Amino acid sequence: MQVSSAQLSAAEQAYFAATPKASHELYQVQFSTAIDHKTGSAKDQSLRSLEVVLPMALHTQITLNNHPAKTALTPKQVLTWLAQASTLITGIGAKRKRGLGQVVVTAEVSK
Amino acid sequence: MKQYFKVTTIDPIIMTQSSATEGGLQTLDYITGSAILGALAGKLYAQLSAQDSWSIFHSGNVQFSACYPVVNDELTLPVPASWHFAKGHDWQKEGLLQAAVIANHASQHFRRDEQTQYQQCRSGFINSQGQLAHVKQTLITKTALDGNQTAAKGQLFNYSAINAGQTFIGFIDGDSEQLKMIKQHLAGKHSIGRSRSSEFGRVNIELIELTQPQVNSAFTSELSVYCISDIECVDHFGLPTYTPSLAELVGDVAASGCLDASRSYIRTSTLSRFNQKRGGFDGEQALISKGSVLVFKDVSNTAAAIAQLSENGAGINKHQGQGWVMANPKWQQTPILSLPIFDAYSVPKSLEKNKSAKAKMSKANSPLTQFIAARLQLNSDVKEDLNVVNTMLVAMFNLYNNARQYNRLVIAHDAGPSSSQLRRVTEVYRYNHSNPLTEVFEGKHAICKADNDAIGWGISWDDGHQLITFSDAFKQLISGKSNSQIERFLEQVCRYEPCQLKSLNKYKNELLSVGGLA
Repeated sequence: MQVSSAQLSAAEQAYFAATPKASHELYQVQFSTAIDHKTGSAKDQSLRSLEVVLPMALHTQITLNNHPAKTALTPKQVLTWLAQASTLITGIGAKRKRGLGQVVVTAEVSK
Repeated sequence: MKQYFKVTTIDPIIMTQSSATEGGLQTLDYITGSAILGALAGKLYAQLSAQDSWSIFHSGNVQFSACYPVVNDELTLPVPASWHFAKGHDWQKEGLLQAAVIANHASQHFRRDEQTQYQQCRSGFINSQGQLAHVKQTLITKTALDGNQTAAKGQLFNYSAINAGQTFIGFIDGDSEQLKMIKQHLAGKHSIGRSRSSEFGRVNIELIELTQPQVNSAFTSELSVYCISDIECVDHFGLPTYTPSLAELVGDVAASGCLDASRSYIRTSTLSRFNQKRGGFDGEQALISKGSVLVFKDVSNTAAAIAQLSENGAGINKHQGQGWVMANPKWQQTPILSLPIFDAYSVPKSLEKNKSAKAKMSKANSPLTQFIAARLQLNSDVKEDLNVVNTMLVAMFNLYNNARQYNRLVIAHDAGPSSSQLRRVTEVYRYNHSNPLTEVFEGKHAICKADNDAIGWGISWDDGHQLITFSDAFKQLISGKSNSQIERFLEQVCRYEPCQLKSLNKYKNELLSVGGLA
């Protein structure tokens, strides 16, 4: 199985290539601090920042490389399983327990 | 018979320079012939008879060439190793070969200047117009995950890769029967290079026609061979050699000619290919590197040798991407380069159709692009506001300054409205969006009222035509500006107490020095 990088749709890629500075707007910086347990206020030296990317729809392509002589599985069967399993993916990337990285994955068979 | 094809990278592809497993590997800046062989064998091998698969993939009868970058519809070729330039000069500038500083040391007319220290051109690809190919590369870092789904210790990998969206051209040379089988499977999507299961390696291959360079017919007994790809030669004992005779190079005992070591420029490398089927390395291969130039003297039948080299290539193991040569290239005849440098392999213009088709692609109108467009608009509005506010700040400083200087007030005295008076104006602009100007300036209870406030809103000076009060001047200043601009402007002014000279100077130093306004 080969998995490609997830990319914006071709039309969106063309938009970002054609619009100057648009790609800067795809990112935001989030700041966070830790809370001091004694005072309840921000802890010293705990300010940190993280660059995050806006919510967007990305497309990735999965290619099956199954050899009929080596496996009894049909591509259709494998793709059905992949489609079912892909709904179990709920988060990707870092800080998934801090409100980031939530995703919805759907699979469809391309022609 | 040659079938040319165009490889376009869909993903980044990793063509590692070495098959070692340690990290930090560099990528090659071209696609090797063995990568194309591998991709094709993956699709074709199972369908072929043992005899066919031997003749196509193992025997060397079918040549899989390396694929080189394309510049300006021309296939680029490696810079010849016989080209030298005086040390300290730039042999290339802004992607263009500097022909004036380059001398071809393999030419018989070249005379070495003993006072000059020469340096060899050792990298890059050029087209016939001297334009250098720039293969965009990228570096990608990955980590392995351990059982807790966090980065595993000591498992950081760097991959350098050729970027997506670039075009390379190569060919497959074989007899018509073999090419027929190959062609059916060559066009389309393939995966090549390393790490193909994760995000790397997809390429699209298209069959194309190229205008090939003319085969030079020579009438002298001298023959120059310019190695476009690596070549591998064995001598008549079957041992690898870097200095082949013409017979060993052509693979025909009838060809006679000896290598002129003083004018040949041979660079070499060795490599051991990894054989995935056997799970081990093949024997070491001693290669004459691409770009090398071999000059042969006393050639008995030059025309025949040229025909054989351009038809069949040179050396052995041609199926692995070796053996592509050009005999008596155009640049070889003179010590100084002139354009065109060589007869080009050029792509017919009909291929350009694809580009215009891409331009017609539908316009993006997704929530993401709408959001980005709104953000960009907001940014440009804010920037425009900022410019207006900056000019307002300068004008406001002049109002206070004029009032103070015209009335010759001593330093200790206040002049003009105080910050608390200005703050009342801010309040109005913040809460009365419908008609703030009336509330601020009109009526008995107006905030900016010149009556009964001789040193505040009522302070006056001569503006060159007439006496003007601070209230009137301020009205002129803010009229025609948007509420958000005025709010922003007042917010900045109210950080100071502008009616006092000390604070006014602070205002000047801090606010007006930003952006060189003061």
